[in-house]
Amino acid sequence: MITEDVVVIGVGNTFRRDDGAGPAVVEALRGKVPATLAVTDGEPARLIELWSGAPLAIVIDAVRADPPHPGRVHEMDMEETGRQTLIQEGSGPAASSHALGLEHAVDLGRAVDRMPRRLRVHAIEGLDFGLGPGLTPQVEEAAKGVARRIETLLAPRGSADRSGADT
Amino acid sequence: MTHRHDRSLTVGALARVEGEGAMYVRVRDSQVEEVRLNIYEPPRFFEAFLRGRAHTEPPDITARICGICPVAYQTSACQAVEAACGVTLDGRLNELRRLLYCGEWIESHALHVYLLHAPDFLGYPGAVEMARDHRDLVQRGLRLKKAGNALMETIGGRSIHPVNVRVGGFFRVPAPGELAPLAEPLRRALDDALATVAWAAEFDFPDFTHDHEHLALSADRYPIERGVLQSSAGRSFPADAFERHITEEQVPHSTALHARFTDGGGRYLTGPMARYSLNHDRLSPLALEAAEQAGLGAECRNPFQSILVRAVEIVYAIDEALRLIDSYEPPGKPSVPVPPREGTGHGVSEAPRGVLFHRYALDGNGLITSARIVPPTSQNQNAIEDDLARFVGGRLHLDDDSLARQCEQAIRNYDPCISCSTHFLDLTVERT
Repeated sequence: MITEDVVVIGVGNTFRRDDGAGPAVVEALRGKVPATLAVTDGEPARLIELWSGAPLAIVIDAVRADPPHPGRVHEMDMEETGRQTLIQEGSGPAASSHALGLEHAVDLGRAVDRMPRRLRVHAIEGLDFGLGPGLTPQVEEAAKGVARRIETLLAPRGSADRSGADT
Repeated sequence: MTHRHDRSLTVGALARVEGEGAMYVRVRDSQVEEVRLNIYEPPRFFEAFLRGRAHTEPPDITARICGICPVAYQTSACQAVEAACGVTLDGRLNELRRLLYCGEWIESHALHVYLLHAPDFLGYPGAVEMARDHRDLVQRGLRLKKAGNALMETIGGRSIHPVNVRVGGFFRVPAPGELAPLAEPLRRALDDALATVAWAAEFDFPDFTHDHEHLALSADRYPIERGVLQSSAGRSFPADAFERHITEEQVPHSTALHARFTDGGGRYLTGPMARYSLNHDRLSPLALEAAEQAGLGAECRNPFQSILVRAVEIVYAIDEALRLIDSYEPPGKPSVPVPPREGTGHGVSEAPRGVLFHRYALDGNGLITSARIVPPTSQNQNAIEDDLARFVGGRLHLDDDSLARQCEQAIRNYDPCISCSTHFLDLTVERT
């Protein structure tokens, strides 16, 4: 999809506990922001289709950290900081279709020139990535906080700011 | 913008981790003694999770097992529940189910061919590096994938876990005018698919073959959404005999069960190679011609050529989707009633990676008392390990890094979906 709208993308699986943080943020934003909302699994080609041509794409994803601080949120702006702040592993090609993630989507999007004009990532540290629905309480709180922050960020100033709203 | 990244933190992988895989090889005196593909994560949790749920719920719940092949899970689940309740879908509803499934084949195969598998043949560590040199090729792969995606969104409501599928059919069926706009992009995609076959045919395929028994569905047309099981050794049985013919065994090194034929026939292979080898004469004329021009014979037993078979299946799925759209007449009702009754039902369909079996037992209120799901990757684990043992045996002169890289390639031939799955691949070679 080539879109002129701001797009907010929650990445994750709601059946993998805290991996559902991104989708939870998107659910909290339904009807509240002038943006296209989407939930996806992080597969790079899907991410690229969702964000191609957007003036601003906001991606919310869960991350694992060691040591864990569940609920801690990291905000990254691709224009400002570059992708290296997101990526730690350089694990080469994956044997499974699931092993490709956001960092690959950014690399691939750049290689085929299909990035949004601006990409902002909110990464929420999770604790439990086991099977099943439901977020741990700290992550649930963090998801609400991120949703509020994005709502503020995209608050219409008369209408959707198509130049790419920012704080 | 507030940037609060804590640089002292070790951020691990972003959370697309749906499982872990590893491979262990033991070599003694230049002989491969043992090869184990360790798979840590099964969909078995879902089997427990389904107990006590209503008979209408498996399509939505099991679709979550895999973001790449949700339609396969939904279709096998629906058919198993429908069978338990004594319901058969009418022709038009089944055609729509097949059309939706074509979208999944196109999307899944295009992903694997272009983003996962092709870099191995062109000498790149991954799709990103390949895309930097071959942007047009990757764009072609993305266009193909998008064509499949559009089908899934139109019929399924959305592409990742389609929401329009229900036991007995669909919540809503598209009007003919909604499907017609899909045809033109699919016709363009067909050109891309034919170009993909011609392109992949030029790859340099290692000389390596297997002799596994092939297992695939068989039907009056190329099998996708339903059929009876048949094998290259002449076995033939319906879905409700699957568990008599196939035994799954626990092995210590994996949480996925290993499958084999119960009667001592041993390991078998399911997936594109088996499907093609048992059904290539049911491909559409266009797909068959593409296969012949690519040099594929009546069967394919070189796992490295599976990329070619997938490319041919993309051609077929697009061709078939166009045929189904062209002849589409909306079903009279979006679904048929499936009143629950006590009983057991079985369903099979051809997921992009092979035969996917579901079985549900229902009580008189329609609550699920037991569930069983046998995905293709766990069925293939035996065959993959056998391939790897022979593959490694011929390459022991390589250092561990090179060997690991080639083993990854050999595993990628099977497009494994390891939690149906995975960050790959930790290789341990023990040489004594």
